[in-house]
Amino acid sequence: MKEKIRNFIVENFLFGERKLEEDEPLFESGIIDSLGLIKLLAFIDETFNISMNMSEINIEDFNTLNDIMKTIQSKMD
Amino acid sequence: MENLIWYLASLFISIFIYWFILPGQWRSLFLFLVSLLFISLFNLKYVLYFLLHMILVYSASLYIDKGEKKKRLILTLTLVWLVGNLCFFKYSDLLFSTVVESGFNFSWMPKINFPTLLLPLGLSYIIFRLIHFVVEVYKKKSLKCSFIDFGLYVLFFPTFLAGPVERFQRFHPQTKEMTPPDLSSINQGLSRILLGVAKKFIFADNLARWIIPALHTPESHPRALVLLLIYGTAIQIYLDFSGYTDMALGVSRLFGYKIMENFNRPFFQRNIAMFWRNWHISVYSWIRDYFFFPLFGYRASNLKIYVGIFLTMVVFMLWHKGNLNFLFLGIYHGLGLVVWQLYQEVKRKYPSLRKWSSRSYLNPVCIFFTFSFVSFGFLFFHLDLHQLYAVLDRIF
Repeated sequence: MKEKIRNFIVENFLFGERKLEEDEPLFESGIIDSLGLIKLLAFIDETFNISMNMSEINIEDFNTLNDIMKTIQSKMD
Repeated sequence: MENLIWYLASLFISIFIYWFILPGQWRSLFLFLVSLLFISLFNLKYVLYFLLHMILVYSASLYIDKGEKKKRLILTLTLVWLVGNLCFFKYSDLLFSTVVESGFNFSWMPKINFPTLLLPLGLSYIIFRLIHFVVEVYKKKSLKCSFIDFGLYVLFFPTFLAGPVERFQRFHPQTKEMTPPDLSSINQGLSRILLGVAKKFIFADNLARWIIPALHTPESHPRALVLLLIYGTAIQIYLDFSGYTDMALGVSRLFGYKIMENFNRPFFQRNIAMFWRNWHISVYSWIRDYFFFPLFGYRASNLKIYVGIFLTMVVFMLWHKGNLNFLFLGIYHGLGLVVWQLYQEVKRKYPSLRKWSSRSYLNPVCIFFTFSFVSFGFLFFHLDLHQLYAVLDRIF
């Protein structure tokens, strides 16, 4: 799951031009913006069937690849 | 300036009492009372008005936190009340004046004298904090705190007038774990206050005294000077806003609080999206989290998302002030952001364009273009449409 999400971010936001570290900040560094987060959530929903309520989204829960995995895990528990 | 001296004298007396006389457990109550006193200096009615709203939101939050069945209904009613209050005070004047100016005939109606509405100072910031609090409780964040700690977060006087809109999760732990500032923190706090005073009272106010009248008579100035005045307007507005933030952050530091930054080199950003992420950060991120995300979900079509981006900018600008100028400014920046996002889609399809546009030697050009776009938009802060046309006519 982690690798699929990493590949999605690399392909869509880094255009396959470099690697993404697990603790690399996605928002502060400008890799993902608000629209990017929406696309990422749509990808997670379509690929893993995990839907999230936008009114319950906190941007800091998606700031790194590790944060995203923790958020998904808590959603699955 | 006399007011500033009184403010600084009262501030240092409060800091002395806060750290050297009061025991730790009394400090948050003292700071809450100082905040109430500060607000009452503007108008005692504000204190009553804000206290009433705080009691309402605190009670609603306690109810929601218990997990009762009707918590969604309580949240909705609380939000409607808060947003309704904000809109009533901020936008009823705009609505009435627009209807009257449109030539609508009221002669058939009984004559009603609408009272001149007095917008409570700091209302927008306080309503934003209240909405943030009740929504976060609904999201099941652990926000348990006493009414005094909640009140201190909402009314914290250094950020009362001009923000930032700090998040409760960052603010509250600092109330609980209050440690006296060391020499370096005192130095940082005082330097920040001095920086803010210099930005606001020495540079921004004096620039405004010179720039605004000159922009009102563009025909009597050389073209190059008018162009410089346009860029000067953006710098003046930045110095004014960020000067307030510096003072707020500096004063907070002296009371042991680290408040979030509101500006991060906004005029050195490569595009309009990056600019907005670094300008008035606390309010922009608030509107993103509590307006854009909940209203325009990820199942939305691309068109709906672009409409969402556009509306977010309109709401953000109208939040500053409810008048036609800020409506136009919202439309201007909303369109700017939508065009920027469409350009991102084009870049996604054309790797050669992507590669070309990311070249580092283009950075100064991109930064200057973004700065120019922002500067022309900021003319809406000081000029109406006729004056704006006169300025543009002088340049082009």
